[in-house]
Amino acid sequence: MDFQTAKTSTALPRRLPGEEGIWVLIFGDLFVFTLFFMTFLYYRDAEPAVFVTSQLELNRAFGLTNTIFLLTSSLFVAVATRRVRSGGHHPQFLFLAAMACGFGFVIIKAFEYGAKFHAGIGFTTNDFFMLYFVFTGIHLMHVIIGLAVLTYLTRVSGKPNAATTGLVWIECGALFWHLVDLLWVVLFALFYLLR
Amino acid sequence: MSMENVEYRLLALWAVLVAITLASLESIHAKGWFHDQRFQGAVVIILAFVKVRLIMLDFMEIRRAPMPLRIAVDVWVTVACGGLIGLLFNIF
Repeated sequence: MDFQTAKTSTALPRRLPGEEGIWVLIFGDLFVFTLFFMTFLYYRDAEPAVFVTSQLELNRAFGLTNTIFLLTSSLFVAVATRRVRSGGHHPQFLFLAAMACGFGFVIIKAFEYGAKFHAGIGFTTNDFFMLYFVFTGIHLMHVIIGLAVLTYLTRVSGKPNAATTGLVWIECGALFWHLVDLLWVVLFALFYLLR
Repeated sequence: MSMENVEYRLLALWAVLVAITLASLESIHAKGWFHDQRFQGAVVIILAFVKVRLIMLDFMEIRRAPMPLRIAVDVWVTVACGGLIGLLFNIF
């Protein structure tokens, strides 16, 4: 986005957040995860009783806390991105706060996996847990990549060129983090809440 | 819109997202509401996609994005949500 467009953006013209490449990646990921979601329901239909009893083994408080962590981190990232664009105060601290939430998610997930393994529940227990570990594991990898992206955003958002040449990269990184958030929203609903 | 207003709107959206999360959690306990358990599933899936759409519209700024992108997002939300509910009710 050039300076002229940035100057007139308060007049609310339509504009592409980030750049084309990140949207190709986002829609690619959305497509793959949509197949994951559908795979889950397909297997669930074959063994509804196994899926309902297995779900009771999951800790809903952990799932809920992680959802709140990601929603809150998304809020921090959204506000930080707007502050970078408008030259607002300390966007880097907001990216740092988002990272703290992201780390909170990883720590809780580690506890959750650990408790399951300790209770003798693993990939081979049944189809529910096989899908649970694979899909939430792939999502966890996204969170870890997202944390690396947020580290970069924290670093560059404090630089003088952040609102000009750096903005497109900051927007792309922010979009990726929101993607990580919204994928978890559906995973949480399917694995923890569907009765 | 001033920067403060933008931030308050984002904070309000976050509160809505948390409220929807808690509402969908409550649906688990509201057994009497659903004579068919699959309707609870449909409610949970629809609430999840309402949250997803709000995240995309306002956190990801799709509301102000070029129309083709906005349409693509709404098509994905509709197809994914509809597809999952279809699978839930075994209509495929």
